[in-house]
This record gives sequence, C-alpha cells and structure tokens, in this order.
Amino acid sequence: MEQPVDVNFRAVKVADEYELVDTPAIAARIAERLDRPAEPPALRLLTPPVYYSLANGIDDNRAINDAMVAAARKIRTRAFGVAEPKFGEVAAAELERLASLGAAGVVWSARAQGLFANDHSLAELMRHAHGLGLVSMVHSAPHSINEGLWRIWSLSDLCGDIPFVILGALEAWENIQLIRDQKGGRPNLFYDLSAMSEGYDLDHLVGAMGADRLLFGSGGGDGIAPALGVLDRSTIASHAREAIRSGNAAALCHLAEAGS
Amino acid sequence: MSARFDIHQHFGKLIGVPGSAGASAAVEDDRDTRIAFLDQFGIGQCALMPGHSYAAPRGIADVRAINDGLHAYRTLAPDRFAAVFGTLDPRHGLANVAEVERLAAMGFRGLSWHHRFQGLPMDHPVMFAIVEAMTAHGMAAFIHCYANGDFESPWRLRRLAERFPDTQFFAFDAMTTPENMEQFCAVAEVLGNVHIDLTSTLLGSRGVERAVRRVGAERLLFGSNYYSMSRIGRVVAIDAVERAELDDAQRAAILGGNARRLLGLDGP
Repeated sequence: MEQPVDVNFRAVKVADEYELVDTPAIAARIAERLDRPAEPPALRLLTPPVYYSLANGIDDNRAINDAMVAAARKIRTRAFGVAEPKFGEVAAAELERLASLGAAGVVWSARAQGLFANDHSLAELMRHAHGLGLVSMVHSAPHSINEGLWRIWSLSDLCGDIPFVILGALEAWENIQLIRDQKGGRPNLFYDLSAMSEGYDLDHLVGAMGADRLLFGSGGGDGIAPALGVLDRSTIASHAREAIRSGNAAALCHLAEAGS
Repeated sequence: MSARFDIHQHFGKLIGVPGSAGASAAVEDDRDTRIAFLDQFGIGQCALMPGHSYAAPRGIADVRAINDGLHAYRTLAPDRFAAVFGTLDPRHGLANVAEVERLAAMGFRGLSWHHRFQGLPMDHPVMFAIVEAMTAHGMAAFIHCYANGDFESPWRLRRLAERFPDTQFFAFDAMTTPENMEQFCAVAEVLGNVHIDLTSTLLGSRGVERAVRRVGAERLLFGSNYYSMSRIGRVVAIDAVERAELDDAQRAAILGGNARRLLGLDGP
C-alpha cells in the first residue's frame, strides 16, 4: 500500500486521558475529529474513545458502535467498536451485530471496563469476536495493574492462537524492555506503535522480535505525523519499515479483501 | 450485643477475584450466614456495601436495582446491619447525581466505590460532582484504595478529601502493603476527614501500632472484607488489633467505637 495504515486512529479527540465522552454526543465529536483529511495521507482505521458514558447500558454501547461504523463508511474506511465484557451474553450479541455492520474489530480496555485483562469472560468474548471475523485490540496502559503486560500475555494463553493487537504497550520503557526480553511473547500477539517515542527503541524491538508483529498506530496522541516520526527515525531495513507502516495491518485486518 | 463494629462488608460477589465469591443463595440464607459470621467473631454490627464488579447492561437502572437490593437486605436484620452504603457507577456520568438524592432519602449513610472495577479514576470530575451532592446530605464515602492500583492511589483520595473537608472518607484496604499504609498515613496526617480501614492488613500488629503512632487510634477502623456466603477462617484485622500494644480504650475505638462515632450511630 502506498499510504500508511494507521491501525489506531482515535475517532474522538479528547481533552485529557480520562475524559468521559458523552455518548449521546459521540457522532458529533467524531464528525469534528474527521472534519479534515489525514495529514499526511493515511488509511485511518477508526478506534473508539477509551472512556465513554454508559448511563443507558447496552443502548449507549450500540450508539457508539453505530456512530463509529457510520463515520468509517463516510470516509471509506473501517472502524473498531466496543463491547462490555461484564455484559456477558448481551456483549456477545453486540459483537454479532458489530460484525454484521462490517466493523473491522473490537477494542477492549480492562482498566476502563473494570476488570483484569486475564479475566475468562474477556477471553471468551475475544474468541467469539474472532469467530465472527472481528480483530480484537487490547489496551495496555503503562504501569497499570488491570492492563499489565503479564495479564495480557496470560489473556493470550486463554485465547489460544487467535491473533490480537496490544495497544499502547510501547509507551512505557519498562514494557519495551520486557517485550524485547520475551521477543514479543506468543506469536499471535501484535503491538501498535502508539505513544512510542524513540526510534532506537523500535530498532531494538525489531532486532529482538522482527517486524512482522508491529503495526503503525497513532493512538490518541499528537497525530499521525509525530507517530510516523518514530518509524522514520529508526534505522530498520526498508522492508521492515513498510511492513510496520502498512503491510502488517493490511494483512491482519484483511484490508485488501474488504476493499479498503 | 458486642461493641465490635465491622466497617467493611459486601453484600454480593466480587467477580473475577479468586476466593472472594460465595455461592449464590436466597437472601435469607445470606443473612443467616452473615449473622453466623458476625457471631463467630464477636462482631455486634456491620456496615454493608455492594460488590463493585457488577454487570449493568441496563445502565443506571441496574445500579439502582443493586442499591434497592442492598436496602431491602438491611431490613432483614436492621439491628445487626447498622448502615448501608450504596454505589454509583462513575461511567454513568452526571446522571448519577440525581441518584444521590434518592439514596439519601432512603437512608443510605453514604456511598462506596472500588474504582479499579468501576472504570474511572477516584478523582475524576464525575466523582467530584457526586461527592458534592453527597456532602449536602452528610453522606460518607467508602473508597477502596491501593497505592499501585489503577485509579485508587492515595493522592487521588487526597484531592477529593481536600475539596470536601466536611465529608468523611474511609480508605478501604489501606493497610494491605507497607507502601499503601505509609501513603495513607501521610494523607491522614494532614487531612482529618480521612480514616484508615485495617481490612485485609498484611502488616500485623506492628502495622497497627505504627499507624496509631502516626495518626492516632481514633482514625483507624477494623473491617473483615466479608462477601456474601464466603467462608473466612480468621479476620486478620481483629487479630492484628488484639495483638497490638494498645490500651483498652484504643482497642475499643478501633474495633467499633470509631465507626459508630464517625457514622453517627448509637452504641449497642
């Protein structure tokens, strides 16, 4: 692909990390965010805000997913939705609906959703999502207990061989060293580059685990250009750079098949 | 009736935490099992709050039902279940504020949280709005606190307690690690409306003695962390207080007097 694929373009720009996005207003917030084209040009896969209001429970959950999918269609891309692990069968039904809407996948945040990442209920829903063709992406906030890397690696054991992406894990230097030491953990685990700050850290990571499981993602930070800067400042080989920039995400999310 | 008062009991389960969930039971069986636990450990009365890892697919409606269930449960043994503390889900935003009014009218003494299981930080703007509404009704806040845990750090509690000096804040699980205890003692030393719960203390009698030296016995309370239908062989907080080098007045204060005084309850 000529353009980079941003696997984690946050569809709502928030005022601070913990802003509780008012769900009834989410469509307007997304429209505001997407008002301008990507700069530099990129295929933006839309991801939801981490914190969103749920006063109406599953109705609010559905509203978020409807807004995400509608916004993605409008700019000819795809979106990730959300489902609440504690909603049990109601969450499973929402995953089925999300898949029917053509979503690319679902984003989970153990911290924002109030459980430990290696909870069996989350693993069960991720397996269900995979069976529906949805790619799971799981937040790993730095220094979190709920979203600690060991819990997410434990989650991958519970999920079997299904591939999923860990978002934000590379923000913390300690995490980067851990991932290097474990050579990326199980082969079904992918990592996005969001919030990563130094090109030499990327050099070391690729040296330890290769480039096949690293994905470009801008996350909720300063935007695509600064996030791409990490990739540009690295000294990895050009084929590795291209894989991270677009090829790995395109393969994982079946973008060519979906016509994106 | 014994003067002991257990500040920290849950009606319901804590999903996902091994050892904290009992089998489901009819509420009468739950009551009888809980009373047997109280009697086993010479506890006269307790305060109750829900489990905080609940499913709420109907949003606020489900949390209202949790609070209503807790309120109804208390009526099964009001002489033993002396006070109830409901909860509100911070992720339900400012729609929660009206629920504070309803719970105050029902006689809830306060509200409780375990933010690690409720998805937003303790010092989120939504929490400030909720506590402001609670303050108008003289309600107290039971808040689970872990120095290294998501959303439950002592500095977050300090922000709330500083803003609302007339509201009593109870730091639950504060003595589970040395770091936790040190941080909460540091907060309690400067804020007189922060009180420290000894539930699940791993610091033993020395930890209790140290906390008494730092903040005074009048700021400490014992709790068991009992969940519905669970089986607990010993209450570590009781053991720690009994073995600590304290005088009788200090021991009595920690094991019940402080809770009754701070919650405005009559003695046994």
